Amino acid sequence: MLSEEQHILIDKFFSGELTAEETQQFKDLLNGDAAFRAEVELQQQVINGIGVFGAAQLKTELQDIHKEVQADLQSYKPSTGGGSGLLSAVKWLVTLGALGAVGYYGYNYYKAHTQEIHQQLEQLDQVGQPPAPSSAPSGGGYVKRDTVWHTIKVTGTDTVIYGEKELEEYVKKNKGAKQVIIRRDTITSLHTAE
Amino acid sequence: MAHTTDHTLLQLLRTDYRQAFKLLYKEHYKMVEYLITKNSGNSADAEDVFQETMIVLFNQSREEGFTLTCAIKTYIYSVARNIWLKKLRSRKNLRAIDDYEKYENIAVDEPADSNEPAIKQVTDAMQLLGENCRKILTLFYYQKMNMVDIAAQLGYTNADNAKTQKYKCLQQLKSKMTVSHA
Repeated sequence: MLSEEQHILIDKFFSGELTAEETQQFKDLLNGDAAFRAEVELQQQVINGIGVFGAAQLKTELQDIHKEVQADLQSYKPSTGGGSGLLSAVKWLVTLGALGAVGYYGYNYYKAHTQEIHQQLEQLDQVGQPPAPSSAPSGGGYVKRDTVWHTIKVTGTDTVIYGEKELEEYVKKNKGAKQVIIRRDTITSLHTAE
Repeated sequence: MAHTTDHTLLQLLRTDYRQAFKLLYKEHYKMVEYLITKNSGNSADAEDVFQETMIVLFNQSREEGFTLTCAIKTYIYSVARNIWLKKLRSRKNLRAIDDYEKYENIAVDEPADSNEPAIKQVTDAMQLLGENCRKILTLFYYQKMNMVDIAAQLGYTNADNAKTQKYKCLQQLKSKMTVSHA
């Protein structure tokens, strides 16, 4: 009958956790204690056996996974049979129809939305612009470029340029800055800027 | 389609091996199938070799300090190639393998013979254990999972309880070994 300490020593041996001192103790017991040696040999046999058992279980799981993956791949392949070919054609027609509907409504939504923005921009043009300052203010503003309104946003703080020339200079000056984003502003913030 | 990096795949192999195997199947099975079928094998051989390759990768990924020294694709090709060469030799078919991929000579440990009496004694006794004991012993001794993770996976309140249970299961296994071969 082994002591609890000897069992711990064997556990540590098989998990590779023996210290230098424990290794020596282990070797001494292995050579001098027949019961200890028999237990080590038995545990080695058990570990080898469980290894084979575990690998066999894993192989069964892999066979299942192989079937699952094959089934997944098959489901992506286009059908070639007569009946299923017809089914495939129907699926294509339904898909194309759905895409067409989404495109049609998307286009109408975009058209209506941009028309509204352009109408408001035109109204703003009619009101007139504030005089362009000699340098860009840090507090905010806007610039009109090719009928599209832009602000320049740098690391979370809006810095808005008033003129085409100023915009070009600003972009040139900040060319290396990754955070520079030129974006179309919204009508709301244009009003705020004024 | 974005490809999972080798490092991520190895990590996944340790945490969710089923998912990792699915990805490996999708990315590398065709390569192994091509290697085998162009070298005297058939689809069933390819499936067998690929599964054995996955087991080698799984076992090695559980070894402490295991790192890949080449791309996982090269590793899989090389291990599959070695396994197939051994099978060809055992079938007395000694023709050389035509290679289609770069390979490195990766040593594959000889798997223990499942028909060896000492091994069979253990595997037979494992079949006689309850499901829970089979799981805890396989997770600890084969998958080399630590007691904290085993406790979490099998629903024990802490690692010490799992450790006690593992000890009891090991004792049960030993007693079943004696009974089954008495």
